[in-house]
Amino acid sequence: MATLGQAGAIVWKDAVAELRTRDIVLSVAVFAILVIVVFNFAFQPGPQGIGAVAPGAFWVAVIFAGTLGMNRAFVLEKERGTLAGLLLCPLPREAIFAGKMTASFLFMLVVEAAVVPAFGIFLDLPLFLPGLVPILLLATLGFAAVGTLFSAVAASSRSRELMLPVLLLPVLVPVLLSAVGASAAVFAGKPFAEYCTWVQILVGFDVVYVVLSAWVFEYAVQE
Amino acid sequence: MESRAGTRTKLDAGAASSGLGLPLMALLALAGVLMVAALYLALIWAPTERLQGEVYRIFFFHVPVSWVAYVAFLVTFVGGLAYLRTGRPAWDRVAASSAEVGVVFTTLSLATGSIWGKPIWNTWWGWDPRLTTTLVLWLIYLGYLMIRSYAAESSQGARLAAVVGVMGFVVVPINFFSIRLWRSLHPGPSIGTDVGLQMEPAMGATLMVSLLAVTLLYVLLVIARVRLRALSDAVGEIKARLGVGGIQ
Amino acid sequence: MKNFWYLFAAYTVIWAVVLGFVLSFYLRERALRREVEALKELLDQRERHGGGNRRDT
Repeated sequence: MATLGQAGAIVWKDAVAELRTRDIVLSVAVFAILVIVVFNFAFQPGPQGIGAVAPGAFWVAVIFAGTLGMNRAFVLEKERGTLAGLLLCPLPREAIFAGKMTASFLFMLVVEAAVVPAFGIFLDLPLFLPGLVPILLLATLGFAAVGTLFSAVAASSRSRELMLPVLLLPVLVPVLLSAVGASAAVFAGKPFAEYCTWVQILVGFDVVYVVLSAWVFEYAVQE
Repeated sequence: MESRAGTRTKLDAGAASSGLGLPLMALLALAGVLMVAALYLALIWAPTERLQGEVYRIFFFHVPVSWVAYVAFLVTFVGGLAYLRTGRPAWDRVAASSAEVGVVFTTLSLATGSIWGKPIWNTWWGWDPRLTTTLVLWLIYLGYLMIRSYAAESSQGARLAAVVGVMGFVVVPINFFSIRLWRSLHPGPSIGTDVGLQMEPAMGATLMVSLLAVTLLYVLLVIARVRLRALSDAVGEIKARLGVGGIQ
Repeated sequence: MKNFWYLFAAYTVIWAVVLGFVLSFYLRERALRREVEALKELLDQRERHGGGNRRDT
């Protein structure tokens, strides 16, 4: 399982780099909270409408903030040349992808850990819903897989801040719909059987896209 | 380095190959005939629909254009995969040309769908599941074209676009399911099923002819675009060899 | 016939877009051919100035 070790090393490297500066995580979390506040001003749901808007606002905040964060990370790597350095090592490309994807995944989880309580407080919703956890994990995994792949693609192009959301968001539509649908059901206290189809879609998406992105990653980073 | 004479013959050959050969002319003629036939059948021969009246005739071109757009993106997917594996530029030319034609057809699908929707649903857009999936598809392939033009140099653009084409096509079925599920929970107007298009056999036959005509149109457009790309690539290559800089 | 203008608009859009697309092919091909002519000119010039048997190193 040498690949696992190699992937792990990359995750560790990214995590350490991030912890040292802490700047991306902080700014992304702040951005996510800002999105929620702006949503509240823009849509003014009031206590009754909250239930309808909440899951959507949450996931939009997470996805927009996460997209910005992922973009930053890859662009920094490209600027510092560390990506080229990584590619020179005799590591299988799938291992590099796995490492980067896991790093993004953990990064997103940290951001969500900040957003969920903020969300609960601002919108006066129950703070801890265990049913939400699998949805968060599955959706974040799909986001991390596709996001990492498209970050590599966008980083190699000229208008990279614009290209990442343009490429990423259409492909994330199933994740967004499923996450919002399932979250809405959880907030409304519905039983699992009622929203299990959404979870199935998330699982299917993750399986397909983690594998596909890992396979295609080497073509995205070729020089 | 090749001789001047060699370069000159290359230029002449490149220019000549873009002339129309016999099989292509035959295809062009067939396409013309089919298109005229399809128009006649769709606009005049096909019976009036019971509920929608005459406006339903948009269906005879809206549906084939939508189907062929999906086929176009399938071709881009296959071409992109082949290009990534083999590196041969011919595959990229086919993939890229098919994507361009596909985007044009998708635009037409959205436009005709919307125009048809207005008199039927009384709104220009109803988040109908098929139209919505087509809208997301349109956005994906606009991204494909954008990444090509925003790449630092053209072989990189081809490679990155192939990656986008592969990733984007695989999401299409997943997308369709999730959008359909979403719509079953938040129902609204829907083309064809809502107001109930009463299909008669004459309409089916018309649809088949129109589908053939549109498919042939797609094939011809892709062939033309591929040849244009080949010519453009050849000219670019020659310019590079001659040490001439500049546009295109 | 009610809703005639919608029917007309839809078919017009289809033909306008397709013909516009084909027109763009024609224009691009014409521009490329002009470039080919210019390149041939360039070749001729270099041949004349460089003399008959300029050998590339």
